[in-house]
Amino acid sequence: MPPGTQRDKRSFDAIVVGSGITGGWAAKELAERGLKVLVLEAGRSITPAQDFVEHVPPWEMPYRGKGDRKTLQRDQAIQSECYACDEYSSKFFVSDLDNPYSTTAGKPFKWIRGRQVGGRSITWGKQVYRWSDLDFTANARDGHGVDWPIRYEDIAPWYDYVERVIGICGQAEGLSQLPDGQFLPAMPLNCAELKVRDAVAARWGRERVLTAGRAAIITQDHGGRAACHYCGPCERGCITGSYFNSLSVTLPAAAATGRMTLRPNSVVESLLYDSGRGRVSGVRVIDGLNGDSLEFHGRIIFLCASALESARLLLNSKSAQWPQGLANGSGEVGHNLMDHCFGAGAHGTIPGMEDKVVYGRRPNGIYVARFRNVSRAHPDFVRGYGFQGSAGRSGWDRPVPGYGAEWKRTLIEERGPWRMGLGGWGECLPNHNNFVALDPELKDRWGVPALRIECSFGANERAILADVQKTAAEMLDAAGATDISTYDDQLAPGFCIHEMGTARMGLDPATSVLNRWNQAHEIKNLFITDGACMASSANQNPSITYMALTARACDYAVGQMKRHAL
Amino acid sequence: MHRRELLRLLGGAVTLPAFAGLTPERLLELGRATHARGSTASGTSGNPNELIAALAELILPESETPGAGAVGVPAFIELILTEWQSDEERQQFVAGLEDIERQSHALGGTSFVALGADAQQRLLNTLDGTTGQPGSAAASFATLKSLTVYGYFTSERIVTEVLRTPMIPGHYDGAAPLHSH
Repeated sequence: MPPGTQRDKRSFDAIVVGSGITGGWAAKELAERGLKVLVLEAGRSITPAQDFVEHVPPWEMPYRGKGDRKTLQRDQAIQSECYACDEYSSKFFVSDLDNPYSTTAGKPFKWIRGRQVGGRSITWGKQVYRWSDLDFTANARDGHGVDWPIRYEDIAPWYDYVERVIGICGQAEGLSQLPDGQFLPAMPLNCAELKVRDAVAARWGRERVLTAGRAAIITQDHGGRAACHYCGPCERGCITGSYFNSLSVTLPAAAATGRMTLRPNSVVESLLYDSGRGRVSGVRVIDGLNGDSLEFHGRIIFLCASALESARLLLNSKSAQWPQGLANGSGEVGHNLMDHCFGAGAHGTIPGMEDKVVYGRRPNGIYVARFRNVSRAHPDFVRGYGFQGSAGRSGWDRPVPGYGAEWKRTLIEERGPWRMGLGGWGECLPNHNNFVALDPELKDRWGVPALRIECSFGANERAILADVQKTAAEMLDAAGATDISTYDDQLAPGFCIHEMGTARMGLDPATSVLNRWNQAHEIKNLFITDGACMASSANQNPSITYMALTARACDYAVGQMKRHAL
Repeated sequence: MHRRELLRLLGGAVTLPAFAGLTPERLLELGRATHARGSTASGTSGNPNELIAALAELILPESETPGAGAVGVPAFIELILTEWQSDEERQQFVAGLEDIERQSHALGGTSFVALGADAQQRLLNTLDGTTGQPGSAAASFATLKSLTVYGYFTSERIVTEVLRTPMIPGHYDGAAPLHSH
């Protein structure tokens, strides 16, 4: 085809599907290594100066932040169950009417999604914890799932690399199960948290370590971005770019190369497969605004669309040659869906310190590193969990009996006691029977087959959440807490928004989809670096691992292209 | 039906049971019309509902700091009542207000707003802190109290002049003195 034709304008060295936390990294790494990159984003453009609303006070919102409840219930019935989908930030979550999915009766799954440039990197929780070999060897040791094709030493330099760009606040602790990273100064613990930390250290020594939350938020100016100013509601955006997201860091870096084309409103429907060459050749896209069907071509394709969307794309790209879905000779695409089990823990009152309060709204808390099944086996479950939490004093929103002028004065001038909460984030085992498939009838607004999701937690996750409550309460008790109560909200999977595992990495093409470079075993120019690639879930928040794997895969892919091996 | 007429219905000029016969759809329609007309009004002008306003002011009265009425709490409650609550919640809320009016009549032979201060307080003391079935006076008082507090402490004047909560704190102090900010 001659240069300058329509086809030529639609040909790139690399196509990246998705502009969220991994798509942004793929765009940056591939473009910085000289490739001409097309980034396709299903959702709309975001302009931080207009769309970020973290400094809008409640009295400027129609419902003072309580949300337009009837509209939310109608259009975002699932999304609005997420704490971050409120009157301010519901625009960063999808319409459930446009983006339906089905579940199996009795097995609810909450799929919380963001379709816009930046994806869920705008609303993510920002907690970042490295994995260790305790995690990368877990499947091999206890037989659940398939062995990871990599170990900590393979990913460690890439953790270093992405962390230096991202800017991670945290405290080095020297724990083998939770490796330290490239830390900026940690955010301070408050006086009640320090009391609990010291009490836990006194009782359990180095077995249970309570440390400052490690977060992708910069505590000093970093990479041209301003330090966090502690305004609080990160999920509404951050005009100073103080927390890591694609819009503030990776997409601008990719754009600065002059080699990235970012196309919003581009709903990728399927991948194009060149059966003669055994490679993917491009993608079929539905223009989200006018419904036009388009094709774009690339020498390599990176799927960074999120675990479930990338699996959906492979399943929807089935053909005579790939009857189970593209790159799915193993039959594992869509299977082994995992999400962290959480929503259980304990609360307690920490007596004293009544003349102290916190100043500023710290978008971070504390972390207790995994301590189960680290040095000795627990009788009730395999794997483990970590705790996140924080302490604080309630203000005017605390329930106080009374009314009248004196009562009003106490609401304004006094505070509730210090309350500390500890919530567990538990590992979810890989299980072939937790899976997604194309729904035979349901389609989204653009006519793309929707997913049917069948997923539930098993006995190991339930045992973890039972132990979470017990150990959370005993740590609060050790700190002298009163009024300790435990909870288990019995949350459905998906709600932790750490869905992963639907195109797992592995050593054997018969039982896994991707090799040690996030490259499809069966299609060499196809890479998947979002949560789909995960062979196990560990208990750490996963995004930093996705980002490190993405940067590593990009480096490998470009190296292979330069050696003409791709 | 216009705002003034709704106000008359909602307020003390006639007793509240006057709109007990209205369908939820009609109530919602009234609410929408009210909101459409009222949404451009400033927080301090236009009293949407004498009973709600009177209760809100008793919950958070004017003292060395502003009262609920002065920072537009009644308008906020009206918005929640008409646009945010479900039909069922609104019916129950209104039923509880009617119950307060009935108790007021039983106590003092008059509507709540016309009761003396001591009698109003005696009535509220029987409601505050108790839990009632939806539609009861106690339940509606609890809802009203929670909305009053929320509306008050999210208003511009209270946040900026009374709480003096900075939008951009700039740093975090985990052991700041209670009364320095």
